[in-house]
Amino acid sequence: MNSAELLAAIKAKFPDLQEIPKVTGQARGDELYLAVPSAKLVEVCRYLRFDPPLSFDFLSFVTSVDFKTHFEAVYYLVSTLHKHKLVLKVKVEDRNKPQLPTVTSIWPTADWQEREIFDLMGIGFEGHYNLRRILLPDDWEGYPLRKDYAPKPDRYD
Amino acid sequence: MSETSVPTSAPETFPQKPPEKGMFISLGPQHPSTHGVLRVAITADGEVVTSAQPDVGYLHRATEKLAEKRTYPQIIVLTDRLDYLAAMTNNWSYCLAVEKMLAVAIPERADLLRIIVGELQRIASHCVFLGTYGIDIGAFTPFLIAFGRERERILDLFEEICGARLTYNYIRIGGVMADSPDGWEARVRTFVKEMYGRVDEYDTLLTYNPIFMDRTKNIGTMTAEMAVAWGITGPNLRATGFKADVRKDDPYSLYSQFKFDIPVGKQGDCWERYWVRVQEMRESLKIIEQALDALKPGETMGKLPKVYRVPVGEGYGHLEAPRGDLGFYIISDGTPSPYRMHIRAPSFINLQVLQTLLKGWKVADVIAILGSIDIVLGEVDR
Amino acid sequence: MGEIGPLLSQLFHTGRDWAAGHGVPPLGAQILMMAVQVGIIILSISLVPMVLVYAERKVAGFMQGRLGPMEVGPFGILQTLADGIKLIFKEDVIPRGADRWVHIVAPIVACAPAFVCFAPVPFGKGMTLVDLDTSVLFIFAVSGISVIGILMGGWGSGNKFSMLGGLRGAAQAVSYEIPRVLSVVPLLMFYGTQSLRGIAVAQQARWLGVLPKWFIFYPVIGQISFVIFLICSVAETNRTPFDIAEAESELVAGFHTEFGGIKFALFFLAEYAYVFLASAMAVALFFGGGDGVILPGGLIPSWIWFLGKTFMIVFMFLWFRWTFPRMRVDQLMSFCWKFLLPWSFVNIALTGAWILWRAHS
Repeated sequence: MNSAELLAAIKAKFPDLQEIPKVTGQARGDELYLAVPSAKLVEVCRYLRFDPPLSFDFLSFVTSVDFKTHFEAVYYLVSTLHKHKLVLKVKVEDRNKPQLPTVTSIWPTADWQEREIFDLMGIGFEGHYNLRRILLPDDWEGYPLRKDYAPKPDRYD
Repeated sequence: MSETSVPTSAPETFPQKPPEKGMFISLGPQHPSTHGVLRVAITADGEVVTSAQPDVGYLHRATEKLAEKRTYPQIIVLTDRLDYLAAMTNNWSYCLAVEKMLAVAIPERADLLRIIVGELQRIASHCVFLGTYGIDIGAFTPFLIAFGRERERILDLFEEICGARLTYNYIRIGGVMADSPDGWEARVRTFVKEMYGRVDEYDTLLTYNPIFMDRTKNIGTMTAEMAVAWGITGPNLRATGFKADVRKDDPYSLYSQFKFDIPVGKQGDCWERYWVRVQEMRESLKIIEQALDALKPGETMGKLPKVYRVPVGEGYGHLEAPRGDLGFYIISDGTPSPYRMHIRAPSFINLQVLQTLLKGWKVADVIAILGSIDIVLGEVDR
Repeated sequence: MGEIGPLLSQLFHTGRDWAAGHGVPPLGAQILMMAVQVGIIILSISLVPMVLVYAERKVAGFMQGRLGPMEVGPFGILQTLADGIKLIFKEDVIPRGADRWVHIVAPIVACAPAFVCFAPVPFGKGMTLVDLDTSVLFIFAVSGISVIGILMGGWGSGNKFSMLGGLRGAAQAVSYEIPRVLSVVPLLMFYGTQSLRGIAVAQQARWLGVLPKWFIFYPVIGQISFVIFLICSVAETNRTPFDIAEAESELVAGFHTEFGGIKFALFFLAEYAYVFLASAMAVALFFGGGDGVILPGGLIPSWIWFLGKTFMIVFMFLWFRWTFPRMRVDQLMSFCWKFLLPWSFVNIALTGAWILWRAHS
C-alpha cells in the first residue's frame, strides 16, 4: 500500500489521527508520518500490528527527541509482508514527569530500546516489566540526552 | 509466556543473596571469549540456565550526545568507532542518512568504490567472526587463518586506499575521500580470485568438522517469528529461513544492478548462523567482481558547496551492515550540527533476545550461542 | 652398532663391582647402582617435557602460519629452559580459602606417578629398566593415581569453578581408562604376555621377509586397537579435543588455575610426561618397539628407532590439538561409553575368533 492508502485504512478505524504533512523545503523521507496521542498509543499500535492489510510486524527502532518544550517519541514501523513503512510520532507534554505506555506487549523488540530512552532521556514507560538503567551505571543521576542536562562533577573530575 | 513475548520479570543483575534454586554465575566483563566488555548474569540450576540477563553499558561513550556538538563531516569519525570491526559500513550508513536530507547525487565511481569497500568490509568482519567463533568452540587454527591471513590482506587493501586499517573515515558525505591508487583494482581482483579457494578451506577446516557441528547444530534455535518479534536483523534473521536483506528489500546505492543471492538457513541454530555468514562471504566476492567490472574512471565526490547546510527536517538512512540493519535517524534544525542523532544499532537490538534464547540451554552452550549472535560492544553501547 | 643397552649394562656392573671393591656391602652396591639408573630415568623424563613443549609451540606455529619461538637461543631452542627458570622464580600463592596441604601436595600426586610408569618401557635393546611380568597392568594402575592429583587440584583451589573442572577432569579420566585398557587386551591375548618388552620383541618377525609383524598391520584388529588406544590416550592426558578440564576458561576456571610457579610447572610436566608415556606405550605395543624398518639390521640402533617412532605418535597428539575444536562434556562421555566401549568389546571378540581360527588351522 502506498502512503495515501495507508492513511485511508488507518483513518477508517481512527478518524481523529492526523498525518504530519511534508513542509516544502524541509528534508523528510517518503514514509507516512502519523501523529498519535499517547493515550491512544497502545490501541493504535495493536491495530497496526494485527490488522491483516496493515500487519506492521517489525518495529525497526523507537527513539526519543527533546524539543525543549516537550518530548517526542518516534516509532519506525515496517511490514515485512507488504513492505510498507510508517513513522509514528508521539508527543509527551509533561516535562516534569514524562510518561508513555509501553509497546513491549506488541513488539518485544521495544524492550531494551524503551529502557535506553528511560536511561538517557528520562521518559517512563508504564507497564514495562524491567524499567532499569541500561547503558549508564545504576546510580547515575540525571538524563544526559536532555537539552538541559548539566553533568554533575563526579569522582573522576 | 512464549518466545515471541517479553518475560514477566527480570532478576537482579547484581544479586545480593544467592538465588533460591541454583547457582549464580557472572560471565564477567572480562572473559577470554572476546566480544568486548559484556557481562551476562546467569542463574543456572545444575547445568541448565534458568535466567540470563546481559548487562551492557561498559563501553558507552555517549556518541549520540557528542554528535549534537559536532558538524556533520566531523561525525563520520565518531561513526567509525561504533562497530569498529566494520567501520566502512558505519560511515556509509551515516552518509546515506545525510545525503537523503541533502538530496545530493553521488557519482557512479564513488558509489561503486563504496560498494567494493563495503563488501570487502563484510568479508573482513565475517573473517573475524569465523576466527573468534572457532576459538570459542576450541579450535585455534581458523583464527590465525581467517583473521591472521585473509583479513590482513583486506586491511592492507584498505590501507592503500585510505591510509587506515581500522577506523577509515573513507566514505564521506557526497562520495568517497579519495580515488583508488594505481593497481589497487588489480590487487582486489587477485584477492577475490584467491579468496574463493580460501572460503572452501574454511569449510573443510571448520564448517563440516563433526566436533564443531556437534557443538553448534540444534543449539540456540530461533524461529522466524521470534526473530522478527525481537527485531533481529542480519545473518541471525536469515539463518531462521526469513529472507530479509536491506540490499534487496530497500536497495540503496547501486545494489539493484548487481546479481547476488541471499543465503538463508532453515532452523536458525548456531551452525546455520555461522553457515549463513560463510555463504555471505561468497556472495560478497561475486558483488565485488561485478562492481570491479563496472568501474570506470570518474568523479569520486558529488557536487557539494564547500560550506553547506543540511536543510531543516529529518532523514533516516539504513543499510545492511555485516551485523544487521544499521540505521541513522537524524533530525536537523538548519545548523551545522544535527539537533538529534539516533543510531539504530543492530548488535544492541540483537543482544536482547538472549534473555529468552539462553533459557533452557546448558551452561556449556552459552558461549556457543553468544558467539553465534556476533555482537560488537562498540555498537551495543555506542 | 650404536646399541648402548649392553654398554650401559656393562657400565652398571663395573660400577657395582667397583663399589663392592671399595668396602660397600654387595647389597648396598646393587642398590646404589639401581639408584643411579633410576636417577638417569628421572632426569631424562624431566627433560623430555622441555623438548615436547618446544615441539608443541613450533608445530603450533607452523600450522598457524607463523614461526613459533625464535628469540631465545638459535631457533628458540632455549625457550622452554627460560620459561622453566621463570616459573621457578615465581611467588607461590596459596588462596586463603584453600586447603593448604592439599594445595601443596596436589601437583606432586599428579606428577610423581608419571616417572614410575616409565620403569617397564623398553627404550631399546637391553634398555628396559625393569622388565616386569605385569608391566601393562602396572602402567595403567600407577598412571591412574594421577587422577587423584587432578581431584586434589580442583579441591585444593578453594574455588567452586576449579572444583567443577577437577570433577569433570576426573570423570573423564576414569571413564576413558576403560576402553583404553580393553583396547590393549587383544594384544595380551595375542602375545600371551603383559611385558612390554616381550610384546615388542615378539613383533620383530617379518611377513614375506619384508612387512614387519607389527600389531598395527594385523587386519582390522590391529587398526581398531590402535585407534581406540590413541583416542583414549588423548582423553587421558586432557588434550584437545578432550581438554574440557583445563580449558574450561571459556566459562569457568580450569582445575589448575590457582597453581602458580613450580606447582604449575609440575602439572605441565605431568601432562607432557604422560603424552610421552602414551606414545612410548603405543610404539612398544603396536609398532614393535625398537624394531628397525628399512635399513639392514644394526645400521641404526634400536633406541633411535624407538625414539623416532615415539615422536611420530607425539606429533599426532600435537596435530590433534591444533586442528580440532573442543568437545562438550556430555558429548565426550557419550562418545566414550556409547561408542568406544562397545567397539573395544567387538575388537576383543574378533581377536578371540582369530586366535581360535589360527589354533584350529
